[in-house]
Amino acid sequence: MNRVLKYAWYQLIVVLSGIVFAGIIIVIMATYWRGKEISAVIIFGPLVLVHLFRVFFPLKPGEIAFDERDLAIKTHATQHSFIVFWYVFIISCIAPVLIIGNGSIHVMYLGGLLLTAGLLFRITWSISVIIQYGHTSNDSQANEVLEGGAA
Amino acid sequence: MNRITKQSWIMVLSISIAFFASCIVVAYWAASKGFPEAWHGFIFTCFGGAGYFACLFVKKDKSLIVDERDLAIKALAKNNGFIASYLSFCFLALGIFIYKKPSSLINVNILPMCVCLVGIIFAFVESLTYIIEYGKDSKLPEGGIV
Repeated sequence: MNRVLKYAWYQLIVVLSGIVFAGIIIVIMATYWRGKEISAVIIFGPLVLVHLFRVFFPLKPGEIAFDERDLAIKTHATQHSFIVFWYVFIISCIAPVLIIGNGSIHVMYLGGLLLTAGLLFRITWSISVIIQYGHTSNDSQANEVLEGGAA
Repeated sequence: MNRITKQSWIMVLSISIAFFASCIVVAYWAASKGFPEAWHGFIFTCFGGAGYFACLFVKKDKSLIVDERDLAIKALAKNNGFIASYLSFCFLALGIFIYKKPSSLINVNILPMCVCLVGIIFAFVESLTYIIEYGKDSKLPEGGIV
């Protein structure tokens, strides 16, 4: 599997696992520890694992980190993420004004918005990369075919 | 100086002037009305967004092509703009969180102001990156001389 694709899958799995895990903890805390739901944000701590990709999957000797095609795919994925992020961010900021009017919202709405937008950015990036590579990279298979043909 | 650099200069100048003007308004309102209301003066920074109309005044040179360097600079500028805007929103949310109590309520009209602020910071940093990157190594137009 291509390294960029591997990173996209890794990031997607970590982020989605973090969300599911945090959701379960929030439900448990809301049931048994009411009033302290906000501390469930700490549960998102495992999301730091996203940045430890190089520790878990170090670059092997001779392995190429990324080439021009990977760079182009990453750039496209980042653009898609920007678009989704801005739409969600603007809608999330304008919708309460339209719904509530001249009212008030909880101060933690900003924190939630920040977290949601950040997570959504990463999820969109990963999905975009996976889609652009065609779900599974056939690079290694193609190389095997080429090597087999040459032999 | 190419077209993007000219547009970027206009954007940076318009935002800087609008920000400077809004600071004056804030100072004036702080002296006359007091501080919670005086913060509203920063809304005048949004007039800096008028710099986006620069594309109407700066003529497009049709004989030029966009090469890989331009695309790389564009990607970098968007990236820097996004990072700056996201960080600014982080600090803004943190500031509001610290200024108010964690369990308190905020006026819902703060949210559109956040959008304006983040958009302005995005445009400013993006334009600044264009100016720095194009001014770094050459005075050639976009795509070089065709």
